[in-house]
Amino acid sequence: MSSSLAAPLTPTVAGVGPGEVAPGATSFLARLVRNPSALIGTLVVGAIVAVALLSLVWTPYGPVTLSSHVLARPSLGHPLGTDEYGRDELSRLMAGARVSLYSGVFAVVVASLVGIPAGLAAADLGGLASEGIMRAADLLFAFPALLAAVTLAAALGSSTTTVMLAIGIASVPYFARVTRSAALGVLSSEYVLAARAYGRGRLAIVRRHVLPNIAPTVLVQSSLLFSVAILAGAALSYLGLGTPPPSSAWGLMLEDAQHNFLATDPLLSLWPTLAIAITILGFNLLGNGTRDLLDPRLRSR
Amino acid sequence: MRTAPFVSTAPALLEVRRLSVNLGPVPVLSDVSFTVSAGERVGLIGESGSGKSVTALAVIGLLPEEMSATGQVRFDGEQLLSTSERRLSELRGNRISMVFQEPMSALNPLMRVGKQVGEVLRVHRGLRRAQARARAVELLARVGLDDAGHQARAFPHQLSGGQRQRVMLAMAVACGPSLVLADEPTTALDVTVQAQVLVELRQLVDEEQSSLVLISHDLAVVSSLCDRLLVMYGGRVVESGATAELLARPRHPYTAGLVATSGAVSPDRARDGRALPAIAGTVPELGSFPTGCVFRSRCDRADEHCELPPVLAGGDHQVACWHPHTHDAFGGPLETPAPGGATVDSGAPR
Repeated sequence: MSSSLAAPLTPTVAGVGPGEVAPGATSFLARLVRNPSALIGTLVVGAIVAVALLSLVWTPYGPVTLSSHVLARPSLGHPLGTDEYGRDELSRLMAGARVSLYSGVFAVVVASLVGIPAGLAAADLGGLASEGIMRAADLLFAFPALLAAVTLAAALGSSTTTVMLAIGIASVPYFARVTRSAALGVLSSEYVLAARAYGRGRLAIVRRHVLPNIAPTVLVQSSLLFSVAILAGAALSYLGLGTPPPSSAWGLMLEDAQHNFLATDPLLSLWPTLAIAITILGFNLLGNGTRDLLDPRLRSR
Repeated sequence: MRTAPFVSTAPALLEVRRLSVNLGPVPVLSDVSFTVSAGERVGLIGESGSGKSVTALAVIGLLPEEMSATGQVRFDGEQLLSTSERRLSELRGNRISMVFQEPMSALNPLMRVGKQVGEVLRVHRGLRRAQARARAVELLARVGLDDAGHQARAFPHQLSGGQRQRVMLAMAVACGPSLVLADEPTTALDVTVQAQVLVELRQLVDEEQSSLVLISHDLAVVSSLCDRLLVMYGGRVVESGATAELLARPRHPYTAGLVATSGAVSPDRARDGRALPAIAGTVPELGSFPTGCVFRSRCDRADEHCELPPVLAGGDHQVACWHPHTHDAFGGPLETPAPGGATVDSGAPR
């Protein structure tokens, strides 16, 4: 932080001449702090990841451990209370974070493994190949994601993985489109022409020039899909199609609480709702902030 | 002193014959022919839209996909227009290299400049990362970048325009190419930096004994560097000749106009308060050039003859014009263009 102020006054600092910015002078951390969206997003997502990891080894009570404290109000023993089977809400929420993250990661991996290469191929090959790829994407796009998830769950049995496979496949067109349009921009740039002028072949140009330059755009798309996938996962388990009970998926918890206890014990509905909302907010903020964070052109601001 | 092989007996390094480029039905280049000998420096001059850059891109085989080229481009005896993309990739950056106009957009914004210079060597010399990095620093030092070891780690946006263009020069000469195509290499730079970069470019092509094709709209830039000039207008070469000869005795009315406008800023003129000379009219849109002589819509000498296309003819000093300027033995114009509506000033700078 201070180096950007001090540099013009003391040009000899770090051997950097006046008017020049030392490469990497502003560290990643410094840039993160100046970018509230990325900062809050990182903190929220970091906290959720930490909680999910923690839940692997420790939760206050077992997430599916029954007790006689049924429908207890929040107390020191049960900070968020218990549900109708006496299961600790906090422990269940922690374990639910794991389910949510797993669904997000799985959907993003499926969508990007297919969508990014398809988009790159469409952009680079052009012509008929591009038409074929993008029309196939349109076709997939026209098929409703939730219907696909319901169908797949009916065919393969409902589990987090089947549902997220459907969400991931349904998101392939988004990835293909975003990748293609970003890649087209890079491919028409003069530095790609320059790279061809010094003898780089097509594949190497895609790998060394196109991919790094579209990475911020694709990462933003990934984090947005992450939140969409978590939301869809919650919605599907709410409908009883995703993660089966007795797992503590947030959608499942919400369905149970809302259906049976919304009037008598609204806090039980509040906790999973908050967890879903905060997680999605976190990923959206992170997605918005990532772009600026990854662009070295913005580093010296 | 290098001797400029103006009339060379050696086979030409680059021989372009009847090169035509079309954008769909629209001609972009028509029958462009010229040669560049080994070690020769040739200037390509003309207004924007005259086909200079397209000529360079056609030579290096990087025309936009929607353009098609016919004719011959022979480089070291090899016909480039029909050669494979793979073979072209071997030549590009290695034996023929190119310097672009806008170094900011011609450098990958996310790659450190040292790495970009190293890229050329990794492609053509198969160097490993560390070797390429070391060579890149040497090259950057050679093109006059201060503290090259440190600057090599900079991203393009952290350098000034002049420094960026030096990086481009380092990339262009990294493999010691036989031919360097420089497309308006100094147009995007400050005037003071322009001169430095030009001197650097000249030194580098001299050291590497490379031929240079320098493209510019600025007569001062090309005339300071080039042995020979080709004047382009409307996708054709309208005049060519040795630099000194062509500047002293421009024959094509368009060249005469260029020479007059570039000699425009002088103390005399400032004192007299005369209007700056200009070539009347504007360059027509692509595809709407007149038939016959492409310049006739802007030429004050045009008459019914000019409805037929003139042929580039003459010995060492060629011109494509039905009514070229003629000059006496001392370099002064014998006849001046009719004043008419045009403000083309006559006469060459002495």
